[in-house]
Amino acid sequence: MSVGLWDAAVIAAKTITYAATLGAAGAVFFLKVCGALIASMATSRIRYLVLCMALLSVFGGAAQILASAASMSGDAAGMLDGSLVGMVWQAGAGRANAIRALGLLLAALAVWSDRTSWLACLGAAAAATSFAWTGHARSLNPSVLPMLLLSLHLVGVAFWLGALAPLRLVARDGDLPRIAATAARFGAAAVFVVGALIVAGATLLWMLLGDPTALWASAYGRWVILKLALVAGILGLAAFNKLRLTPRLLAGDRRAVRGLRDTIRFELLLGGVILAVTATFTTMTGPPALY
Amino acid sequence: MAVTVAAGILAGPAFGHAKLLSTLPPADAQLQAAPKSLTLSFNENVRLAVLTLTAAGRTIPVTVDRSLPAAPQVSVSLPVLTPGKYQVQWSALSPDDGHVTKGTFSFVIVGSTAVPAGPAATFR
Repeated sequence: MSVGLWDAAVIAAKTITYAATLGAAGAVFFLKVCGALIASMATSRIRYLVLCMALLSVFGGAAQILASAASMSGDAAGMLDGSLVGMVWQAGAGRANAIRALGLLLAALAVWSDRTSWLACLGAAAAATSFAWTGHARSLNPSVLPMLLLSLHLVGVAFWLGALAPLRLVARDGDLPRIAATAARFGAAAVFVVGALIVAGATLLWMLLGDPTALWASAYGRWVILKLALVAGILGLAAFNKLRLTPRLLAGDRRAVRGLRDTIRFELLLGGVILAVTATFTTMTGPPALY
Repeated sequence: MAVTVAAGILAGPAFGHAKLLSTLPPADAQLQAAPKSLTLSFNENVRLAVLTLTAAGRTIPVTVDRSLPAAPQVSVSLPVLTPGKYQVQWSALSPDDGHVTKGTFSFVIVGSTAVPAGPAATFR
């Protein structure tokens, strides 16, 4: 597999867009679920986080379109070629980016207006699921079920991975009862959400592979195995947080706060690698069921 | 070392999206006469974005109509070509999933008269 400079740029922009969009959406979901438990200072920081991530997402999406045009032309001049950029925009990227930007705008406005409303969550969900409007799930025929499964998977990923940075902000404020209550509430909700995202992801994977042997017999399948191994790692860390650290936090053990901050840092790192791996194989390879 | 091992395990065809099935003239063909057009056939609808034809480091101007609707077969007209080795670099976009497909191939003209190209080669 040969990756040129502009292909690498597409993958980098895609990774940033994934991380920023899911991060912004997840922070909104986090405020909805845990907002009543956290201090106003942390709430304010999380609102800034939503705003910064939303802006980064919009810039990342634009950079991905320009890098795709450069990848097709083979040089930077492609970014200035209006008809090439227009082709990328028309091939799904335009609609996905527009839905994402509108969703994030709605989410950011609603979050900053005061309490986190269902309107903010609707905007966050629209932004997180915008990736389903383009890509392999949309190419399956019929595409409605795969797109719904991918949307469910994306909302789940946003809820889980997007909550990590806000949770770490809460863990920094040093107020043990608040940290313990927030970690407990998030952990209780995450069990169902993560379960749903795994079921949706596994069903979609089955559709994209077409044949289980494609998991090891195709380049796409081998990338998926790498992703699943990384997901197993992050699930292990999440389980450690919920089953070991959260009970210690609830029991008033201050040392568990440092443990929580450290494991969240590793989860963030692993989450970033998972998104980069996903961006790489969805750009460079295609699922066997389609080709 | 770890990177090399990972690259080996994960290696596969580059840009496995819309798949190029054949070209006309075929890849690596030795043509007695210059082709008047160049055709790429895919397994699904694509829009041709870029096609660059070079010979001996010189780029031969070729017009790609990007306004054409997506189709599984795309063609471009060629100017009168002289004998020599030609390199074709192309990229196309799948309108269904927005993915980019690209590749290169070459052919050689040993004669000098412009006639339609021969049968297509099949890419696996």
